[in-house]
Amino acid sequence: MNNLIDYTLIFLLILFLLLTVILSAIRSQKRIESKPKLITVIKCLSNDYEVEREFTQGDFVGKIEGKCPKCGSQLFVVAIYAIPSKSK
Amino acid sequence: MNGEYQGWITTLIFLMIFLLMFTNLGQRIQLMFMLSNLKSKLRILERLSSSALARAEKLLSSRGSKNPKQLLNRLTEYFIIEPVSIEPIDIIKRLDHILNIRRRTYRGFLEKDLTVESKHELLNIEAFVEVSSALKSIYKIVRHLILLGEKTGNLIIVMQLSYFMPQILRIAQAYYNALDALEKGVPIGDGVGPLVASLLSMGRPRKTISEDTVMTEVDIKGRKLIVIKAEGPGASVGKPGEALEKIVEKLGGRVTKIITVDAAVKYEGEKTGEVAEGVGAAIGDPGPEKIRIERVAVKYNIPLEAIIIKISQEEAVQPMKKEIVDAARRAAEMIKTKIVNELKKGELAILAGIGNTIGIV
Repeated sequence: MNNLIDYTLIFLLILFLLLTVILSAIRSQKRIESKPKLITVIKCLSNDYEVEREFTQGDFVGKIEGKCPKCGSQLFVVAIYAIPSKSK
Repeated sequence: MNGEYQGWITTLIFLMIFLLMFTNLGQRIQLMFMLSNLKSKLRILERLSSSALARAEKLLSSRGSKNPKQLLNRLTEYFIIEPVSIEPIDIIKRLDHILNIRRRTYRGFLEKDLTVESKHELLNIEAFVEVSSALKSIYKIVRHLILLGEKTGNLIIVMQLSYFMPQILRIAQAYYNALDALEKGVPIGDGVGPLVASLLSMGRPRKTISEDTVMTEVDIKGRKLIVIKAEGPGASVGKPGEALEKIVEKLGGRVTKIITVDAAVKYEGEKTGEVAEGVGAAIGDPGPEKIRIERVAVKYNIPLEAIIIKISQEEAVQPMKKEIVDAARRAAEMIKTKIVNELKKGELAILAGIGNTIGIV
């Protein structure tokens, strides 16, 4: 009976050690690389129109994006922001 | 048999207690575990550094570099020696001189070797290489400390590094993530100052006032606001101190208020995008630009006010978050209100948007 308890304890101890080592190895290998979704905000200077769309290469804040469909003023990119989405 | 077995275990336990208490075996075991843990973290840093350098090499190659590896090595190993500080006379001038030479030489290496469409593309490539270089430096310093700790058995070095490692990894990962933003020319968190300046001066004509730095005149209900920011959309911080000094001197000091707006590192627990007001020059340069703002403000007794937008160290180098954009909009409105409430009609204030202007004109 005593032997069984001893062996069980030794088995549990080894299992615990193994799990600790494996988990720490997995943690060290894991690298969370954030791949954010980029949004471009376009706004009319007269403040009567604002639209958001996905970022396209070449966008920058201050870029002229055509004319406002409501008042005909110039539309500008006023912000570019990221929505974080995590993937391994 | 059972009794003999227990006797052995008891002897072993006593022996272990004796060894751990009266010898340095405990420390050695601790050192061994810490070093093993640090080495696994060092592998992560090595991966980030070599991946960043490989991407930088590919970028240089795609822009016509004949020997990108050699160019990259030259740039990432480039160093500056700080001026003598035990003799403080002219230290700012000497530091400014060294920083100017460093910037021109660094940019010169790239200009000579690459074929780029615009200056802004060159600035983004420069920033990309600088971030890769920073990752390489982090890796080299950590490796140095681990090897030194191992060689000398210095538990203090190993322990300190071990406790700082989570922060170092977070910073390195943030730098690595910043590479995408730099490649695409997307605004980063540190660009919140230039974003505020851009929102206040959007659609108005700009004038170059200093290297990579522009100014715009804005009318706010009869009050004049001169907005200074780095040119953009290429990655640059410009020379806001020099620009501000030039403008104030040109106006003979007839400026009612100077406002600087910049991103500031928040305390843990604070919300990203909190806007706070204070006094002084909100600018985190090594010294030459900040001192220019302070000196000219003191010379003409102009109130020097600061607005900061709180972000974390990691957010500063990553693509700008929505909270930061919202904060920039709030800060721009706050400045407009401030100008109307605190300046009389016909008076003039200067606003400098401090930070990296990548993706922001």
